[in-house]
Amino acid sequence: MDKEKLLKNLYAELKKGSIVLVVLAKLHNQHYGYSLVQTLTDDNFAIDQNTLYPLLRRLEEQGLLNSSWEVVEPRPRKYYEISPLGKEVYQSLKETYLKNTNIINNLIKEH
Amino acid sequence: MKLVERYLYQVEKYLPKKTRNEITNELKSLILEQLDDQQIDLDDDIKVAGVLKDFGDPRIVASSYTRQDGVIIKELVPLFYFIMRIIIYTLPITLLFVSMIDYFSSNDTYSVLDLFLSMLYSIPNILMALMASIGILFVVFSSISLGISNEELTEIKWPEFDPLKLPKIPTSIYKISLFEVFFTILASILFLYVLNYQQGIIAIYFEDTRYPLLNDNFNQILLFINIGVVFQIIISIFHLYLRQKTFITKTMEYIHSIYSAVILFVLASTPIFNETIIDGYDLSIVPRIFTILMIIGGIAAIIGGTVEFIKMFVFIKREKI
Repeated sequence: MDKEKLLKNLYAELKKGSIVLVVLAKLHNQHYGYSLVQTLTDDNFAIDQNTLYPLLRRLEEQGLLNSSWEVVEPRPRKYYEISPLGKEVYQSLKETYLKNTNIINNLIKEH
Repeated sequence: MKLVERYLYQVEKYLPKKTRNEITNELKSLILEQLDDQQIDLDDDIKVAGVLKDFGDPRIVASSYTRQDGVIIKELVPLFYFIMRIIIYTLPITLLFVSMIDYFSSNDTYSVLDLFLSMLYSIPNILMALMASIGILFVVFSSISLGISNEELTEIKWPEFDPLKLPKIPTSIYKISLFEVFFTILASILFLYVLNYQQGIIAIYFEDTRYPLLNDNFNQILLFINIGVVFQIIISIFHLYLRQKTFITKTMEYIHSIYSAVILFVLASTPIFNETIIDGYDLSIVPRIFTILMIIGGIAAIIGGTVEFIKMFVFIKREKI
C-alpha cells in the first residue's frame, strides 16, 4: 500500500474515535442532518454523510439524542438535539478525551 | 424527482419494515436539502445522479442503517449480491445443459418427451445446488469479513454504482408478492411430480384397492400440461430475479393464460377418465363436473389474463396524462 493511502486510512482511524464526541458537542444546539454536515465542514471537521446520518439514528436509539420532525418550508426536516442522558455521557466522554489528550501530548512532545 | 424516488425505492427494499418509512423519509429530506443547497433542478438527472452517487449504493446505505457489525461487513455486501446474482442467473442454465448432455450420453434411444422430463426432474437438484452455492458464498464472505483489515478493504475495486441505471419503480400492476411467487414455484413442482411420477394417486379408493381414474388419453395431453407448468415456473423465476414484473413478463403471463385456457378446453373435450371405473362405480357425475370446471377455468383464464394484460396499457395511458 502506498504512503498516501496508508496515511488516509490512519487519519480516518484517528478521526473515527472522536466523531461521537464532536456530534454530541454540536448537538447542544438543534440541527437537522444536512445542517450538521455543513456546520462540521465549516468547522474543518468534515464527516462523510453516510457515516453521520446512520450515526445520528444510532445515538437516538441509544437515548443520547432526541429527535423531532418539524415542517420548515419547503419540506419537513428531522431535527436532532442532545438528550439529558446524552449530556451526562458527553461530559464523561469529554473529560476522558481531555485527559487522554494530555497524556498523548506528553507522550509525543519528546519527538 | 423520479431519480430520487427510484433511489429511495431501492434503499427501502433493503430496510426492515419497522424502520423503513422513518429512514426513507429522513433520507429523502436530506437528499432534497442537498439538492436545494446546490441549486440542482430535480429533473436534471445528470446532476441529481452526482448527488446520489455521493450518498452511495442503496444497499450500502441501507446496511449502514440496519447494522453496525453485520456478519458480512457492509463494504462487501454489494459484491456479495453481485456474485449471488451471477450464480442465480447462470447456475440453473448450466445445470440444465449438463442434464441434457447427461441424457444424450446415457441413452441409446432418444425421445423429446424423455429429454424434457429428464430436464424437468433436475429442477429439485438445481434448487439444492442453488441453495448450497449461496450458502457457501455466504460462509466465504463471512470469513473474509472476519479476517479483512481496513487497509485491505481500500485496495478492492468495487462495481461502480451508477444512479442513472437504477431500476424504475414498479406501478402496482408490476409489483410482485414474494409469497405468491414462492408458492407458485413450489406448487408447480409438486403438480409436475404428481402428474408425471405419482399419477396413480389420482384414483378411486375402495375397499383397500386403488383404481386409477385417468386413462392413456390424459398421457397424450400431459406433455402440453408439462410445457405450460414449466413456462409458469420460468416466469416466476424471472419475477423472483427481477423482484418485479415487466412488460415482457406480463406479456409472457398473458400468453401463458391463453395457452392454459386451450389446455383446459382440450381436457374438457377429451375423455380422459377410465370408463370401466366410471361406469362400474356409477361415477358419471365426475366427468361431467370435471368438464364444467375445465370450461369455467378456461374462460376465467382468458378473461383474467386479458384484463391483467389490458391493465398495463390503462396504467401507461394514465402515467402519460
